[in-house]
Amino acid sequence: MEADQQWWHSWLSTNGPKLVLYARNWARSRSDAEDIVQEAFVRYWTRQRDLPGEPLGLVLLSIRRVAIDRARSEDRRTMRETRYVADAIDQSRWFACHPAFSTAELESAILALPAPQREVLLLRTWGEQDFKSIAEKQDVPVKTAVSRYRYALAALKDRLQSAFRHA
Amino acid sequence: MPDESLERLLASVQPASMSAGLPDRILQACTDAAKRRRRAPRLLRWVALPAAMAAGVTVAWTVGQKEAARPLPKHTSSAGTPVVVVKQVLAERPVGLLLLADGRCLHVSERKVMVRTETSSAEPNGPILLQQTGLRELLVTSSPFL
Repeated sequence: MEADQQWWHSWLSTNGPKLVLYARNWARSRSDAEDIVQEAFVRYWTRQRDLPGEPLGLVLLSIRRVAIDRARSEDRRTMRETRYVADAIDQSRWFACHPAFSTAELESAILALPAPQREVLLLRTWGEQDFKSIAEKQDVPVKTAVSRYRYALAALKDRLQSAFRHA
Repeated sequence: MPDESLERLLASVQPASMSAGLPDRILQACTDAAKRRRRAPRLLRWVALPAAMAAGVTVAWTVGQKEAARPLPKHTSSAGTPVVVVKQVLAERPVGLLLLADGRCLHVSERKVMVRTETSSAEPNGPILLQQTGLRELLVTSSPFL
């Protein structure tokens, strides 16, 4: 049991930043995203922990479901208030600093993407998911997931020409 | 810039670090959740199963509602009677009701388990009237709740 806890602690320490990044796709602040990750991981732990395979994909899927459930359960007023407060106080960034270019610009460019494209980009690049599992999560054909990824890359290239020129 | 270069560049960007205490917080939440869930299975394993078996009902597996779709072990009892599986846990409480796959009910309390031997017409989550007729009431001496 102790060894099991240590293994999961190590797993969370390694994969936690990826999970929080993915959760930020729906959350307005880092603390919201961490709450989503916590709830999603508890769901995974209690219901799916014994399933075979690498847990990352299942935890990411659990995050998606928790985030969508939360969005449905909050009424508009609460969301508006939360958004206002979160925007006012949350200055945390999505990415660590990069030596070659501004990750703040990258974050802005990613935030400007349509939500489905943004999600594919996050899952593919930082969630290490293949297109088949991304398509399953989004409940779309694999071709659609690939297209969304390509559109996202093209949009990023357009928006980040100056940032990448020096990279 | 080719897509491959952009992909490599993006992959070199690390997500921001999370709060330092998050792994501990998550694992503590998991432990708390496990404690909350443990009571019902223990009740089923130590109270419902021996009582059901003593009443001539072989229960192969007891699960929560959402886990009921799992493949169930196929057994027959030593007497050759078919196994009855628990289909649904109606209430995960010390006093609970188990609806068996064949329609019968197990009414589980901390001190006794009653098996309704005729087909139940009870509705899930509704009050179930367990008539004395057709019931076998058993004291479970091995129950940790006694």
